[in-house]
Amino acid sequence: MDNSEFHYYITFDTYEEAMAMHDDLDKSLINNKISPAPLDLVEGVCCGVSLMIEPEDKEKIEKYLNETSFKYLRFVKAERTFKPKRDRYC
Amino acid sequence: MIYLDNGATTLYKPDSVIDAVVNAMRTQGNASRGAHGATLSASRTVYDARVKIAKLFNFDTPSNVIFTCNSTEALNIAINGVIKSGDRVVSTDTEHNSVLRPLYHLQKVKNIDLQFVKADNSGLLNISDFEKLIDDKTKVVVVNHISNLTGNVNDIKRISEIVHNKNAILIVDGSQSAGTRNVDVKELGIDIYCFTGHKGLYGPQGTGGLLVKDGIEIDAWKRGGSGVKTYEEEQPHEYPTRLEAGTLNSHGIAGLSAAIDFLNETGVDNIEKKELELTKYFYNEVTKIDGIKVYGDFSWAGVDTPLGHAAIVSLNVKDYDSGEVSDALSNDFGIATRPGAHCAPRLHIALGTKHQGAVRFSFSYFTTYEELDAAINALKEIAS
Repeated sequence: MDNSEFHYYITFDTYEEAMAMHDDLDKSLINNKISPAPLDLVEGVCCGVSLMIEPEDKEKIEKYLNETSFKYLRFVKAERTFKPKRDRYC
Repeated sequence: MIYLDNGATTLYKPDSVIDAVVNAMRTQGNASRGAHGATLSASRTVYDARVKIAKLFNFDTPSNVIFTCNSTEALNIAINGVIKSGDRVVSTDTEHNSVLRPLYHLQKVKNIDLQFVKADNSGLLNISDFEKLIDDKTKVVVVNHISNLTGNVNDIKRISEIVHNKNAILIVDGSQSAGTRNVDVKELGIDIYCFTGHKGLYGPQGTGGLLVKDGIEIDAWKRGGSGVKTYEEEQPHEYPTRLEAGTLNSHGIAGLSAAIDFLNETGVDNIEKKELELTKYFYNEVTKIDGIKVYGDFSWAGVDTPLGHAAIVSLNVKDYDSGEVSDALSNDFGIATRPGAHCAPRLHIALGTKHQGAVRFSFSYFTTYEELDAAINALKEIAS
């Protein structure tokens, strides 16, 4: 579990678009994780999964999104609303 | 039992298909509903299956591979979702009821102008009849790739050229062609290809789908949970979600995915070649028996033709009822065949077999020559 205060998320219209980009990012050795979409940020309009990106990979992902033709909805920053380990380890 | 009813369902499936279904039932959650391990396992299976199916049919857009429970459902979705009130629609005498009944229904409720290309007494369609019937007003043409009764193969590429010259949409019933031959939807010019998983693809029953060419709009046919865009009141517009409300049969799709691996490892060309040889052998032997009449076009049996023929031979013995012959084959010889009308009423009328029906023998990649010899000998005995 990482301790980032925030993450970036790539959101999509469909699961298929998310899976297609996830596979391509994996092939390109760019860190990404399939994650539930942050509904509050995307107002419930996107597909239920997103790709979660670590803050340090932001520029790499932006370059990737500019250079490839994979469909996606938004690339958004989301603060964590809670820290899973906080109560146990802090 | 000697199983020669593969045109209905292929009975013998690769072990890998069965194992995949069992494994999926032990490990898969609900596809496209969250991001925990079990749901991702199901989502991965479904996504990989879409990609494999697209590749198998040389189709560019995996997200436009829509899963259904069989080709009847796929055809109903396509036919009801594309055809509008008053449209002119052309189909053929060789269609299965999975095409005919939805079209007859639309004739009643949407007043469509429904025209049929006639079949001759070999079950063949004349291409020039398509040219005559498909006019500037025609919106949709629905035709099977291969007849489930005769095994005749329609020249989809030529039909597609005629359809597209008139800017109409071509829906193809691929129930008998998927997996039994290489189907290249781009090369053939198919707009919507409907298939089932449980026949030539060697997958489980309850699987199937349709491939929808980019730009072809099919209305949503059911509405409900999608795991996406929850707060929108309408079914999401994007394919495949538009046509896939509710939980998918990801257990069956896992089996279908494994079945496609089997097809790729075996080679669809090899399957087609073997099935054609089996069919040719059976046809040549049964036509030596007095009192046997075979239906369909077998002019290819002596020479190779570009279109080939499916692994189907339908026949009658003298004037015996087809049901009685099939029953005798089952009870006395342990041979499974399909008698009756085969859900193909217009074609039986064209063949002159409305009252007698026909006994359909249909083979698979797993059929052996020993099984064919047993069936040939049984027919000799029945006809004697």
